[in-house]
Amino acid sequence: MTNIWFASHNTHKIQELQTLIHPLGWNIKGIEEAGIIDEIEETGLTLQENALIKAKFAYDRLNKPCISDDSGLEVSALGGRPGVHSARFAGLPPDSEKNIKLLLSTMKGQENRKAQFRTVICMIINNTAYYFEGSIQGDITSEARGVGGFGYDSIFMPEGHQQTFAEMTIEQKNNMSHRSRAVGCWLDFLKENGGFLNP
Amino acid sequence: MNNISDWNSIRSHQLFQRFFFDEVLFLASDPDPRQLETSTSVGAYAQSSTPVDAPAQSPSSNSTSIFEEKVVVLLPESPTETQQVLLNKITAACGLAQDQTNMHIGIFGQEDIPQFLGARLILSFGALTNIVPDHQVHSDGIKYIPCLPLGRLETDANAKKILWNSLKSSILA
Repeated sequence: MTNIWFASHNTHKIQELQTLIHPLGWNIKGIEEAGIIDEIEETGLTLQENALIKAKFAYDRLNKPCISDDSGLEVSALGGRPGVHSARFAGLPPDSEKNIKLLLSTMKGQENRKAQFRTVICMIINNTAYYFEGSIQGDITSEARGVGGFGYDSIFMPEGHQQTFAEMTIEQKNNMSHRSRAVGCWLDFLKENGGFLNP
Repeated sequence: MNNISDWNSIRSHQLFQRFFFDEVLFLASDPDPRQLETSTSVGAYAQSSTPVDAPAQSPSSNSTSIFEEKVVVLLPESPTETQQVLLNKITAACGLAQDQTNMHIGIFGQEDIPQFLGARLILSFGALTNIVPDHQVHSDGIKYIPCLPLGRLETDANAKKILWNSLKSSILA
């Protein structure tokens, strides 16, 4: 069974991907298992760039198939911000509550509430990088609602729905989320090209 | 790291004579492996010995420079076998060895270019019209050459000429 190394220290993400990819004959392993414990600096200017930086960081050290992801909230009225800076919009260390407060105050009085969540996955195999993207459009609510989810989930209401991500069950959210859509594209690609990609 | 002026200066007149020679072969419908071998052996674009994970050196951005001296090829989707042969011929005719090239497959916009900081040249195969803009030199010194899609280049001799002229003019510039 071929291993794909995930450039993340988030064990929850690793397990989630492992469940999805295992039936296809691939294994997801976190880079910590290969002894890489360094924090990867996410200095990119775009989601794609950050995903690439992380995947390449792992690939350069392992020379084996590697994958990474990066996600962000892009608000139309703010020209796509906070985007790549979503996790640290209100500064470091990352604090979701502060981020939400800052975003809501920035959006106060703003009629255009359109926004999208976007995830980019980067996979590097045989010196070739493949990108997979998932997004979901919606609106920024005027106040936080719901207790589920994380990040900006409590102020993001997907198009055609009356609940924020934080008011939905995990299953409801996962059925439509930007991340699950990106993962879906990646899995479709592996199903079609897995044989070719096996090193 | 070689900058663009170094890069230009190492191109010899001989290399450009080769370009015209290659053009004839390039426009031929059957790939000629001998031509590919000859082209990949050209060493005019010597690789820097700087490690790819060296610290950021870009003066205009705080983004990490992760493609020192590499040539980046952007494609909207995986090439077919024949498109891969065509792509190899294009890069080889430019004097580029395959190990100097990083291929990136996905949808790319102009705003995505910063991620290729440190690359010396970007060939982006995805322009949708006949009107292919001239090459651009970004503030980071990266040469960005928009190219028509490989699928179109496979079958359209005129599209090949457009690409070829674009490559010649951008490398001469």
